[in-house]
Amino acid sequence: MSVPHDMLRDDLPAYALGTLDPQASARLQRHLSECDECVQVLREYEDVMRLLPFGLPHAEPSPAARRELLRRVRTDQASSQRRVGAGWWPHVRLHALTALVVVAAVIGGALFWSLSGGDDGDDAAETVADLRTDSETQIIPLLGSVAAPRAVAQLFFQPGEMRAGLVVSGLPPLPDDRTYQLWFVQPDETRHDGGIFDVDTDGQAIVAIAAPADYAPGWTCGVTEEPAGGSISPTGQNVLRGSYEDYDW
Amino acid sequence: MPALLASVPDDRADEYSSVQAARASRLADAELMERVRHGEETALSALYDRYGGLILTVALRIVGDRDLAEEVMQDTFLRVWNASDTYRATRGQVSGWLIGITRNRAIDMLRSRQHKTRLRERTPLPEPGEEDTFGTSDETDAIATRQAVADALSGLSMAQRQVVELAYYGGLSQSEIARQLGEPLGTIKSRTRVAMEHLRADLRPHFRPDDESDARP
Repeated sequence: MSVPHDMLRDDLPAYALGTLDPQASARLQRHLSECDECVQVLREYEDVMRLLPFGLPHAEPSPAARRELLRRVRTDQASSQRRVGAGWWPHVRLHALTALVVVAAVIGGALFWSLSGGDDGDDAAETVADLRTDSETQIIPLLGSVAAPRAVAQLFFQPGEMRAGLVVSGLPPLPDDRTYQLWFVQPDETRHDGGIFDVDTDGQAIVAIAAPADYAPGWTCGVTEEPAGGSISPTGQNVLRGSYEDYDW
Repeated sequence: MPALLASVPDDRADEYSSVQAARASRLADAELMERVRHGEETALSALYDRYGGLILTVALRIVGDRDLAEEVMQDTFLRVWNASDTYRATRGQVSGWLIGITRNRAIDMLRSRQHKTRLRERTPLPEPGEEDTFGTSDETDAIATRQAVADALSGLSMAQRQVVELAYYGGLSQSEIARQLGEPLGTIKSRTRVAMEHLRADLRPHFRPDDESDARP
């Protein structure tokens, strides 16, 4: 025999408080799956639950508690390469500050490499040099994925402009039949080819690229390993990734 | 050419960090959760700054010990960091989710450890008119909410407040409350229902979607 609606509704306060016994909770959960009215009432009881602490004397966390939390988060971050997102593009845990610091440490070296003898990197280096000295330029840090944990990069670009530059360090050199390929990814996962490049024996590269003119917040960018000549869409593993939102102001 | 060799200035990192933090502090709760899900530490910091006091307040009320309460708070935010995927915006507000985690963790701690003997200098829910020291914010909404909660609680009988408190902060089931108070289970059920219905009616004007939530409680 089914339990009358009003009786089930009467269980909602205790359910919201978490004090309903397991059997009654299971019965109510089944009812909630088919009763919008009760779901709405439950939401309101949950709002009551949310507001009740406002009736308590306030406690302020100590500064030490904040530091301890961040320390534990960073420890956790360092000890596990946690993923978070879904879909084709595997999210690396991207801590933008770390990205900036690490990239800053390698960028000078990569540029030095280019200026001190890199072959066809000269034009790219000039592009990056121009962009770096322009106040309109934005810089997006990219961090290596699990597949290339030492890789870092910076993408230099100007909103609305196609001219852009990529400075890479720490990517493993590839055999002749493989290459790296840059991608720009729209929020709807549409990918745009950003060009292919190879790194030298030290794992460095400076590349002049063409960014999509509509590259904007919500986009991500990244690098995959592809067959020589590149691919129409990503097929290989992701080795670098960055987000527009992480750009260096 | 030499300009190319200039490294990124050291102070850019701090500048970058503070800009990120400032941006995060302006985001709605749901957006912060999404960013936490993607591993943005500044988003977690913003949530902490927004709700750390509330979480600690709830934890302290339950475990009755400042050190343990901070432990619960740490656990709560680490849970947020490591299990942010379990948050569903469609299931309610971030603050409610955080409070739920906190209550569960604190009540578990209360039940599972030998702290029972050292705990529980439990202050009752504040009496109507009692000085409210919740927060230092002068935000009108926050003050109005605190007053509304105080008024709503003052509308409950002592017995009604007691069952709500034992359930909310004590984590007791209705059967446990009945045993503790020596009253019939049916009485406890109806008392709980009436109390919660009263609170729901009185606090309804303060129910809001997450995006409109206060930066501080």
